[in-house]
Amino acid sequence: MSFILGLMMGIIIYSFFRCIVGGFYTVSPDQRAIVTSFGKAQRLEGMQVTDGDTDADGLSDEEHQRYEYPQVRVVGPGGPYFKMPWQDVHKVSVATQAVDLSWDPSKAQDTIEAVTKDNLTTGINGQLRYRISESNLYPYLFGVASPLEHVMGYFVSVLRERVANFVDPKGQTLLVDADVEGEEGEQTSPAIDLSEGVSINDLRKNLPLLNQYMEEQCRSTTGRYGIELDAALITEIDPPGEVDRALSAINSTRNQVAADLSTARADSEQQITMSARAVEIATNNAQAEVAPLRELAQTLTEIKNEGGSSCLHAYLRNARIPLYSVARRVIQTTKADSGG
Amino acid sequence: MGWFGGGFIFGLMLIPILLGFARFFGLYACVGECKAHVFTLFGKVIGTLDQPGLQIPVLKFGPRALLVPFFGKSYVVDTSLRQHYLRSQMVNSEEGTPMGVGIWYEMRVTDPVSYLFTNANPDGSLQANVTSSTISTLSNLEMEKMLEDRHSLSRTVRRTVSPLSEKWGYTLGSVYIRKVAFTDRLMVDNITEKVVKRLVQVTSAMKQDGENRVGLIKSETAFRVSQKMAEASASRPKIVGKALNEIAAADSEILDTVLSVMEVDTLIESNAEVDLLPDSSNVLIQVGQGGGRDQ
Repeated sequence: MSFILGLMMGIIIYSFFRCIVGGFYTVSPDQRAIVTSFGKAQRLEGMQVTDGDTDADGLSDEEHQRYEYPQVRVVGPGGPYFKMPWQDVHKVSVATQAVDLSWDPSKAQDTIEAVTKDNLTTGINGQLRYRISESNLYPYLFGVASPLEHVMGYFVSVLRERVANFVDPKGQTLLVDADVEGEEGEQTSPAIDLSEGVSINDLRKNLPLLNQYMEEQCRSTTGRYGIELDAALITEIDPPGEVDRALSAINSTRNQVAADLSTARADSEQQITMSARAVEIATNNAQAEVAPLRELAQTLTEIKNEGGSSCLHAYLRNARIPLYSVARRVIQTTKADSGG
Repeated sequence: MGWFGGGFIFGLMLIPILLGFARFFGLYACVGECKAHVFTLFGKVIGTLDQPGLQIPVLKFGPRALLVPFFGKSYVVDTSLRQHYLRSQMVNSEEGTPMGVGIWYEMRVTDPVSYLFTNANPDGSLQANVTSSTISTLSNLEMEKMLEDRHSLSRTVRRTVSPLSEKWGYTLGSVYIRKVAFTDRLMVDNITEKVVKRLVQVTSAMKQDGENRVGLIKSETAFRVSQKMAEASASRPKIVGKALNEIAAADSEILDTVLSVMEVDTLIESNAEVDLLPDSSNVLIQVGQGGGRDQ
């Protein structure tokens, strides 16, 4: 009887701890949980992950078929929740996390190699920020064996192809602009023409564009692996040392040329301004010289109008009279002279 | 107390023991998500449980499922998506350049029975197939195409390998040519040197272009300054001549008078020594010079 009593007590105690004490769980603010019963996740009937906004997930129709996962019920933060003994709780952190771009579980490396359009082998490094997608937890927890490795494999593949194809997309536009400005008489830098075919230069100049492209391409990782890409930050593009030095020389030369041009333009403006002033000065001097001529002519015209030519002659004789006051000697002619 | 304690401990272990026995004898199976249980009996596959949740093999396979623990075996196969990276597969481009290619591919087990029993090493065979297909697809392609057109080549590899892999229970997922690299160090150095030379050329061209543009600005400036200075020099004759012309056009006598008056005024203001002589008197000029002061 004692044995049966003990047996019953043991079963009750076991059931109490297994069902009641062990049945409560909580989900912290950065976590989401999925509950499985006998190993099966509770599905939202008739719904697939791809039933959402399919245009936004970046997957093709063929990829939708390959990456088809069921929608499961997600337990949000809070609690205490209760689960039955045959249920398991799978918790994941949905906080944003970061991984180095060079991370590779099967190889230790500081940077990843990529070949540019002009075949230059260059090193690339950066950071990938991601978070586990709350709306597609199934692939992260069950559907994909190692989701982060898949994300990295996909990301690095897309990145290397992009680097191999990258040309400066602004080049053509700027050349058109250059033509327009050329028509207006303004000289435009032909540096774009000159640096054409130097991909490493294009890559460095358009790093934000590259990051943006990678983010767009990696939108599909949510549908594929249940990992939502927050940002792709390529921070370093490290070509070989001699290429780096040659690039530095380009930048130095560009700065030097810009400085020379600026000085030449300033000097030119100064000289042109000074020559314009010289024209103004000469014009004013000539106007000053002409002014008394015009005034005198005006006055003499009035004299002639009033008194005729004789009056004009008289005025002229009168004007000559002061000459006698300053004359050193006057040789006066006589009437005989006038006759001879 | 002894019996009670023994009963109590036995009571604590009873449920786990019963469940363990039930599992061992195949009375039930909990199939996890993306898992498949394959049951064999007397060397034959009697069935597969691939739906997640609580499964009762006896209901599905009949009473013979109870014999599995004794005369058969239950295999658990992971059917989740897996990935593999094949590094440094050597291919030659059309030009004969040796290239190292890295292939990254995804696969999942879709037929657990074939996966378990058709091929002793399905993973190795799949890798060999992907490698072989990659080499046959990429070899003798132009280097440029190999570098820049990776995604379409990846799709070709996938199309080629998929039928082969399906025989072994695998379905190939995405395939990407993850890396294309030059394996010959000398070639890498040559390309680097080529890029450096191109950059040096760009630097020189940029410098020369800058000098040309500075020269252009200076020459344009000289031209415009010269024009202005000529304009300044010409402004006096232009303005004075115009005024004289206007006066002469109105009355030439007035112009003569104006000039005469101005001459007289200027002569007076100059404080010069003046000898007034009659017109055309050479002799008198000589007289004047003889009686005048030294100039």
